Amino acid sequence: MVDAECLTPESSAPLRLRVKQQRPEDDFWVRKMRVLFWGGVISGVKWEAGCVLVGWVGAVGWSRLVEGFCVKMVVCIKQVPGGDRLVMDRERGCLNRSSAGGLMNPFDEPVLEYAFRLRDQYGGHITVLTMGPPQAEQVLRTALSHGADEAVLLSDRAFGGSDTLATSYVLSRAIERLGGVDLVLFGRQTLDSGTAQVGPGTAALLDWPMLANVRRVERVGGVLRVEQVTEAGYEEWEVLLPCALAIAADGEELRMPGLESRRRARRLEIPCWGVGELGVDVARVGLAGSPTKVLRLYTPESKQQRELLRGSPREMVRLLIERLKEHAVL
Amino acid sequence: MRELWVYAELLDGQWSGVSLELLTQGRVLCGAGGLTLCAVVRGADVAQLDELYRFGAERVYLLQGAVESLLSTVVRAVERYRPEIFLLGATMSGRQLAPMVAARVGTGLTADCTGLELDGNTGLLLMSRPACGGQLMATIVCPDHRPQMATVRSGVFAAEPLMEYCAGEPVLVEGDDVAAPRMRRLRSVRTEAGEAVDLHAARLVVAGGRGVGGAEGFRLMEALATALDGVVGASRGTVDAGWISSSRLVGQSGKTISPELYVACGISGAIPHVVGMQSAGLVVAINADPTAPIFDVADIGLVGDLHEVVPEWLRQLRDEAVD
Repeated sequence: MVDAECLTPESSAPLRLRVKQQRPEDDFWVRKMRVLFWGGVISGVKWEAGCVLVGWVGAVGWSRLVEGFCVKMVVCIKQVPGGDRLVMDRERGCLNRSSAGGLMNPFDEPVLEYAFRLRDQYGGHITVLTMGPPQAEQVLRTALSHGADEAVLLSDRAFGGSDTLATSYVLSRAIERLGGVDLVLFGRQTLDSGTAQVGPGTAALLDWPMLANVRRVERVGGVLRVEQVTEAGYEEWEVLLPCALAIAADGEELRMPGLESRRRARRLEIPCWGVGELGVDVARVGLAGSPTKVLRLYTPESKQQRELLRGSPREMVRLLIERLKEHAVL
Repeated sequence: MRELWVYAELLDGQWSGVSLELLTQGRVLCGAGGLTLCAVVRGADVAQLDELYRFGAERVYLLQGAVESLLSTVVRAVERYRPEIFLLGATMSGRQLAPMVAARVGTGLTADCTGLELDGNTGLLLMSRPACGGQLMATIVCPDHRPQMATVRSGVFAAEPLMEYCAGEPVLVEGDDVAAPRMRRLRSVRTEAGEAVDLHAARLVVAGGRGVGGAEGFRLMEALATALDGVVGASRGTVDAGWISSSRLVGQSGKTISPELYVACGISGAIPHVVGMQSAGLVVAINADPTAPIFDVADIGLVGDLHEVVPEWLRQLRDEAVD
């Protein structure tokens, strides 16, 4: 059980906690532990090695159960254009994101849910991060309403036109600036460009281990045990934190927003970090800082002689077989 | 002489199809640009390397070291030998390795290219890929950073061996192993040994979408595929619904294929699906909804209920066989 002092939200004095002795491999988590309340983080808590926090922290009404360990998670999400509102900026050869509608990348939704489940299971704190135009704040509010603890928008005119490397650079700087992050989660890919490059790129710039196509994450002692889908089956890996994972969880439906979190999502101020806040090298971001350049855009030549058959199945199939013979494919 | 590297990957003791396809296309690029074609491999026996020479590799870099240190070993090799171009297959592991190598080296990477050629004037690698969800094609270059990196899905290029080739001695690259790696592979499990389907190799694919109605509906797809001597593919919705295994998935998050004939049954034709099959030789679509976007990419569209059309097709095929 936990014996805590100075438990007032206003107090910045260090907490003193009596904690239960666990196995030595839990040291790692102990070092990384943060106490959470009010969705915020108190850092600077002193921990003794070999101990893990179990029990209730804080007084009734403004505390939450922290069980085993707390992990500071970041989920990187993206706002993707919704429906038919795609507008290409032909001059710059890239998508005009400020005109595009705002949906959360559908591949990010199961990841967010996955992060919630990790938090349910082990405790933790979830920050959602997105880079985009100011209106990308919308997807962050959505994530908050579903239950994320904190959100940061990475937005600056200088970021416009960034390729995957420049984007990875900005994200890696933001993760460094957040500080104390243990686990960064990405979706399998985005719906719009679908390169699946930003996750691995960000991890490489942070010099963290990274696994993509992960379908299961489990904590075993002080490490994560991760199942990675491969072409032939799957592989099991043991990964030390901090690390980054791209989650390929299918069909994990995002939980419904609660009343409390919806209210919080409306109220909560979302900080916006740009070049200044992140201290990024402007020569490495945006259109000019991206190593890949779009040389030209063109409409793929469309096939000729499209034919739409209607009528009775019998007649349609007769015509179809005739056409297939003409094309010599059967 | 400047080099073009192809990362060759072993899957189950065999070179992955895309590795050999990239070597074949690499020969074309090397011929145009005066480059040396090199294969980069890890974990292969010297005996297995012969196949790489047969597909055109003039030099093979054999990476040593554990799988855990693959990234840093590749990065070190790139920094030491400074290839001009580095191509990787967009396999699951290639899609993880390539962006990490690119980020470490600080160069650009273009994912899932559907075309690779050299610019006659500048000598730059012109990398084409669908942009904007497949509505447009973009040609991308990496003018100021080296290597110029790209990943390519399997099935985009053809694999053709050389009639005559000359095998050489591989160049050994020492592994960048560390005493305490931050990740460790515990085991590798094969799950689809029994039912491995090769969608890439199939000349004919019959794919089912939500319109087939359920796992039962895929029996009909199976019957048509068998009658046409093809294999069954599927759209995202059916895989998510658990009607069929994800190994059948065609599309952005599944396989990109280019069979001679693609029959889309009850598939609406959402962009993520279309990018996986648009390079098929001939596309036939069966859908009850005449406004379904699949008809925009189909050469022959049949407006009707697949549960009527497909059995009719099977009947006529049978009648024909009898005649």
